[in-house]
Amino acid sequence: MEDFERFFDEMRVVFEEDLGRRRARRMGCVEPLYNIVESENEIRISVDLPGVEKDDIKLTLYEDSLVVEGLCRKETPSVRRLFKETPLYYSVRIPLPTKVEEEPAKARYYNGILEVILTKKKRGRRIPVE
Amino acid sequence: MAGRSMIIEEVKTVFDRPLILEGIPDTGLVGTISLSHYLSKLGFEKTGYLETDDFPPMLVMRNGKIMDVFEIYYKDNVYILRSELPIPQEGVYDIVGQIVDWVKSKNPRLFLSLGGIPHPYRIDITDPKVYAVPTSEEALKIASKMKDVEILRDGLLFGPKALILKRLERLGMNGLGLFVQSYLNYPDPGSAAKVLTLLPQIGLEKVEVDSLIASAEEIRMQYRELMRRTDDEIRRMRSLPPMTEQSLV
Repeated sequence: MEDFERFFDEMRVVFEEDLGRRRARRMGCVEPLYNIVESENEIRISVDLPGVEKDDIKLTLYEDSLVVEGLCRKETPSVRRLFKETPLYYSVRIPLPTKVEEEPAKARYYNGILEVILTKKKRGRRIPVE
Repeated sequence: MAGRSMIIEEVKTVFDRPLILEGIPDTGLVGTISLSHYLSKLGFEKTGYLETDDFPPMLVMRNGKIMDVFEIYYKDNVYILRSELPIPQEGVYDIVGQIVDWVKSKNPRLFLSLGGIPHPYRIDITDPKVYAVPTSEEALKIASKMKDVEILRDGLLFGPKALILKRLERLGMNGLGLFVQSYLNYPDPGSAAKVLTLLPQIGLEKVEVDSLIASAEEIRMQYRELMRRTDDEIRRMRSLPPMTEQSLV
């Protein structure tokens, strides 16, 4: 049963990643690169957002995903050629591999990389044996 | 041509036990970024390219000129191999075979592969560590003498760099992989700068890296698409069946 649930969780992640990518493209946004590192209690999500100011980042945490949006103010020759005068928007919906607590969620932005640390929701409750 | 790939040299070069540097796209694009910076500072001449059916049908334009996807540069007994695309999984054995045959024909003093080794908490690291993978006793001696470099004792490497180093080891050639801690799937100019600072220790010309660090965010924007493609290839190669004797010949 656990394997079955894990399979469906994995399928959901694959499907949502693809859906998110297509949605971002349709809206003319660039999907930033991201990475997820899981430890026992935490999920660390880092997102590559070069050229974005901290105040231009919008983060929204949903039950099953994290949405990251940002406005890029810097330009490189290649980006200028591709996007002309249109500002570059980053947007990505990152499916979470497991359920997380709403609080405490921490985020920091350093050298163009955003890192969000989420606490995993505890699945079971320990029952003391008397 | 046994496979679908071939290295073409357009310009005759005079060499004597040269140094060969390789920066195929890989983890953090460390090799690609560092060698692009190195080339931009030192005026190397393009002398050849890789012809292959394994790259997607694409055209690279630079300063209004059509360029090759995989290029060879030369200056003062040093060759640089640089690619605008990752080596695709379908062509990895054939392309690596061509590269190794070409390297062998040059009888190099040392083949140097520059790459990244992923660290999950790279964001917290200000001075990334560099690990060496030598393919011979002589290469081990060179690596052991280098400051700021540790020999990789245990670990797994995937992809074309791993295959090249393995084949050089089989051939008894001097190869050295220098792998610096980097982001797995973001272009990492900081780590590229770190590996560049080590090159003078093996007799290569020193280049300034301050401009590379200062323009890190622009570089990451510029290389985003290449990083995405490279990351896809790395993930695909991790699911390849293990190497066999036959595939290594």
